[in-house]
Amino acid sequence: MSRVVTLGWWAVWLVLAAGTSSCRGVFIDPSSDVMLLAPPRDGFESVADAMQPSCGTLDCHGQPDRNLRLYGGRGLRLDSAKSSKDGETTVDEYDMNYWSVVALEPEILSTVVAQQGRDPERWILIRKGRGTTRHKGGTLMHPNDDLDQCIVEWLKGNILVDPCFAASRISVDSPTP
Amino acid sequence: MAPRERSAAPASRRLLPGLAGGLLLATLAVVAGCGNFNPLSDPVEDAQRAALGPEDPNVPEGPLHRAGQPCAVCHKEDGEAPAFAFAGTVYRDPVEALAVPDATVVLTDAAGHTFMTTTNCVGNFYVRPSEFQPTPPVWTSVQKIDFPWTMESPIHREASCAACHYDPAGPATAGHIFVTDDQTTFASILSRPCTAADGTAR
Repeated sequence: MSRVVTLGWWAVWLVLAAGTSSCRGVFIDPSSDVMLLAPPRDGFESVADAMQPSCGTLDCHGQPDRNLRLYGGRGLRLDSAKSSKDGETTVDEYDMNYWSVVALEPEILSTVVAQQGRDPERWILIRKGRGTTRHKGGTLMHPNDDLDQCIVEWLKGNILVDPCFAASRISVDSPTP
Repeated sequence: MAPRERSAAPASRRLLPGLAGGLLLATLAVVAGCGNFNPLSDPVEDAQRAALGPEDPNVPEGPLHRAGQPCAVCHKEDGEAPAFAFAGTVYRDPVEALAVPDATVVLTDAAGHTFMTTTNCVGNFYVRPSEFQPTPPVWTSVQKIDFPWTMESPIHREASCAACHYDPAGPATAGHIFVTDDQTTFASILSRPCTAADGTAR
């Protein structure tokens, strides 16, 4: 009860503005009275899998010293006894990836989510991925391609399984990211 | 008429040029006197170079040296050695680090361009930027026997295979590169002595 009372009015406004969609995630920084919105954790596995070959390889964000740190069955492993040769991405790894992603510019992400994903390039992950902000890894997605759709729709609270799956399967036979 | 007295400059104004000069001299002395100190160096790169250790005195500096090490620590643009677009060392199997000579390394980029090269007698291969300037990401495979061993993930920006492929395999590394895990094929994969064709100079 006391936590509810301490929430800032603007945070309450954000929640109201976000509507009542049950699939939109909410998290609270326990050290402050700020409430921020985040895209849903439910279904994030598809988004994380989509990001794995384009973002989460061992030579990019699959490195322990990256701010955006991504784990995955084919990249960095959370379990110190495992390597990228050992099986699929685990639930714990998906959890860690989720928090790593939503911790990027959380206030901006919250605003984008509150506005149903409008102008997603306000959020750094979209700008970096689209290459509109300097990104050492270059341009990895273009508006409306599979990876872009997968992430942008997730910001709206939707999980588009087919584009996400297609983005997770880029290979030498379909190499254009 | 009494001579005009020179007005005394504030003590700080008199001290500053002296301090600046002293600092400059001290910096020059340190730079000149300590060969290993470079105030403009990158500490991360310095640490990477230091981790390589010294050259093996029995191996000439060149295509045969530092097998299994991350080549692009030195072999990079504006580096101290000729730049490589990709370079690495190929071994027989996932357990033993037995170098595989004459394995084919195939690199295919996002634009569909393919480049092929082969390993030398110590398993090393390298690709110069003048030979292949890929559009990332790049998919790769190595082949010594009937079928290629293909890397599941693409390469986005790392030129050194050993940056990700080092031993022992663990959470941040897939272990060294190998051509097969099928023990029945091990006997057909032979090493060979180095020849002049393998190169001894950079």
